[in-house]
Amino acid sequence: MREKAVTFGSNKSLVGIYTRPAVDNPRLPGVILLNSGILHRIGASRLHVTIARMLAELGFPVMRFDFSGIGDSEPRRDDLAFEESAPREVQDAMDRMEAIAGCQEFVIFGLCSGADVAFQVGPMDRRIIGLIQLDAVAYRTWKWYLNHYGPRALKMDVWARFAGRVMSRLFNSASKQAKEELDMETHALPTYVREFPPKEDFAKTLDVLAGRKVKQLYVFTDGMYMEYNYRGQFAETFAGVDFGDTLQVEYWPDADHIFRGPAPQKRLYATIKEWMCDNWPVSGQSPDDTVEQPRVA
Amino acid sequence: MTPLYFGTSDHPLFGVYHPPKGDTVRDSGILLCYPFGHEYMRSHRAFRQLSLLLSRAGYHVFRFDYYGTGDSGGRTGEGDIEQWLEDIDVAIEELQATAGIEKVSLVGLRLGAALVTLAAKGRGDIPRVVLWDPIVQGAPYIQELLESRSEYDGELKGEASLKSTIHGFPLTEHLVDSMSGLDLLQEETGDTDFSILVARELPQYSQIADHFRKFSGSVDYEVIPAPDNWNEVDDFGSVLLPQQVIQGIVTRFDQETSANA
Repeated sequence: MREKAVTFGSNKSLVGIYTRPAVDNPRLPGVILLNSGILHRIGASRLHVTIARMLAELGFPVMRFDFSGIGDSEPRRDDLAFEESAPREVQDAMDRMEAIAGCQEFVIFGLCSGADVAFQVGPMDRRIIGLIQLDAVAYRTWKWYLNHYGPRALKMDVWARFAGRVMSRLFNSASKQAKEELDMETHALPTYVREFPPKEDFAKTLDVLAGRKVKQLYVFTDGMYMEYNYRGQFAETFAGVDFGDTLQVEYWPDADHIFRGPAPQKRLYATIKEWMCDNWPVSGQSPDDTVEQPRVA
Repeated sequence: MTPLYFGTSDHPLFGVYHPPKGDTVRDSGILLCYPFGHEYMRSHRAFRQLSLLLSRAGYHVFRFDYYGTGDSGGRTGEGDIEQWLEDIDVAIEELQATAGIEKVSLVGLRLGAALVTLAAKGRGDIPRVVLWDPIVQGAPYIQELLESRSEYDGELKGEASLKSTIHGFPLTEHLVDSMSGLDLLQEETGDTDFSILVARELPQYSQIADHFRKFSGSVDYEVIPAPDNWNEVDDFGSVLLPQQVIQGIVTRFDQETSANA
């Protein structure tokens, strides 16, 4: 396995790392790993690097790259909003992978905003045959409300805190403003603000993807607790979509949004490896836990 | 800007070279050295910006990932202080060869500041070392890291080498052993000029300035009020961009007179 820095896109302003598989296998799809928020391409907890090397060792060509204006990629010279530029840049990455490795089909991986972009570009490009989405968009159900508020409604201290918050909102607007100003200074760059599409639109896209037999792996963590809080919520939310055998959904309440813990990290690697090998069997190789070192290309 | 792999095939390192831009081209370079783990993530944007500004000031600039970090080879958690010092030597040589220069100044943030102090010792080709919010002693830093753990960080049973993750990045027993011996107050520096730029006044910062004045040609120490909460992470991986300190570093180098126009 070898890694190589590549530049691509208009003006070659996008920077990525291509991880060449240990054994070339043109039957296998290429895998593209997207930024989550403003974290650069190595990903939270260096997840993207580990996943890229693991999949390349199995035989999948992999590229992780930075969207324009993130990490080492230059800002765009046009005025395209992120929602417009990001899908185009994923397609630029697919074109580059096709040129480097001959990939005709792709699996797109993303966490949080990366998952949102993956889901956005999925129906736009027929080369995409798989999506891995961590902490993707989710929609509350009646059971979510029950899980979230049910136990809390019986606790006196919750009501006391609620009353305290109301009082504080009434009397502490000045201190709140001061804190927001401090946050602005500290964070310097705006954090990603997610806007969930209407559930009906999301369901229609799922229909399109399922109709194209695009394989989808979803993992929801405790980082999405305000939207997702029980196993089976996704299937209940989209019960009207006929996924066939294209869908796998995991719910890991012991993991946080950026996979800080070593146990959820290992579980994530194992889950992705198994899902990839189940959907695109790698003949002649058995997946194991080793992650080989890259070599200078 | 050129992203590239360098080093050997069994020990690849990733770096980004920024050639001089603009009318002024200087005959020296600057190597930027990142901090540890999540602090590396948090500072990546600042390092990119600092690189661009220094290259516009006419310098050949190189920033790179230590072994076991970023895009470089090695599993996360494989590196240690000794390894990273060797990596800095390799990166200095890479910059010298790429740019065709001899003199390379070093800039290090947090743990990177401790590393560049040690890396400069015994070399005659490092005219200036800039320490940005430096880690002065390893033991208190390890304690600070451990105290900053979130409820999601944890130990991985069955892997004896792993002490804990710190916001997702492993702090191994080996790295703890390696870091705990760090103490810049016990180090004797050479003739290199030092700039110590810090975002707040802390006793260890002025102590290190006083200590280095015993050995170094020139030590300038300045407090530049700015955000310095490197050891924090939220769920969205927010970054820290202390413009005031970045500008302070650029000003230091801008004042150098070795321009070859």
